Amino acid sequence: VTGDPGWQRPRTFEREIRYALRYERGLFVKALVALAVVAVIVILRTLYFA
Amino acid sequence: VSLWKQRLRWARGNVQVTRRYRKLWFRPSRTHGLGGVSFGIFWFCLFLQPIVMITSSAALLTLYFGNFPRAWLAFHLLWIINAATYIFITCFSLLIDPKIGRHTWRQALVFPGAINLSIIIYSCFPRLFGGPLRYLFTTARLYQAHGHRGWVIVFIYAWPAASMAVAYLAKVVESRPFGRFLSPLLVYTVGYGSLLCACTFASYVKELRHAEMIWDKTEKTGKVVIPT
Repeated sequence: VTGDPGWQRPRTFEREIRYALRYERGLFVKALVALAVVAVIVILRTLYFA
Repeated sequence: VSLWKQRLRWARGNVQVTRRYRKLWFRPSRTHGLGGVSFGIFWFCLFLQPIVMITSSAALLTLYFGNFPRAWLAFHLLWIINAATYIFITCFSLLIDPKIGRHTWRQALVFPGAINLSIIIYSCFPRLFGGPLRYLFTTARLYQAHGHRGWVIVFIYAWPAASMAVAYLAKVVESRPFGRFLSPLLVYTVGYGSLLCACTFASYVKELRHAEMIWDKTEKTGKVVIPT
């Protein structure tokens, strides 16, 4: 590979990994939010609408 | 029709893959991932979805005529699980890409179809709709000894299987008079899931009949505008 200095590759790789990890963490939080919505509806149903 | 052709082609591919690799499913291996138990469960949950829907309806109807209280309990359990899954998947999908979610939330909400959505809402909040429904059933003389027992319950129990037939009808009527109006109306009534199940069921039939394996290319005619 020409024009791609070797010392830059680890830095780019690290940036990509950081971005991917941030995205995965975001997905985890979003899944928790969706589960919380389910829990609220189940609790509401059990307490008031069953 | 284009969507049907495309999904039928994919579904027939799934049937062929299932058959070709029949000796690999649920046999974990170090050399490939096809034999993984979780992968097998995911695969067959989708692949056998039409059979699950038909057997669910058959089981509920059998219980209805044999043991009504158990059928009612099984029905509630089934639809509460459906409701929880629907709420989780819809919320999560919309949250994954909020920008797109802002434009597509209406489609996401009606994804299960109008009838399934009504059953889900009723399963979540039965007391909220109990009064008006009881009044409706009483005035329509549908109200009998066991709550809403009558043809309405039979219809709801049969719906998972029947929805696939209605989804097929949506494909059939598209080329008929008023098809451009009726077809989307039927799809919104039955939901996208039932349409995909009907495609999968059609793929079983095609494969059993050894139908010709042609590409049957989809002609893309959609005019989707992405809002800015």
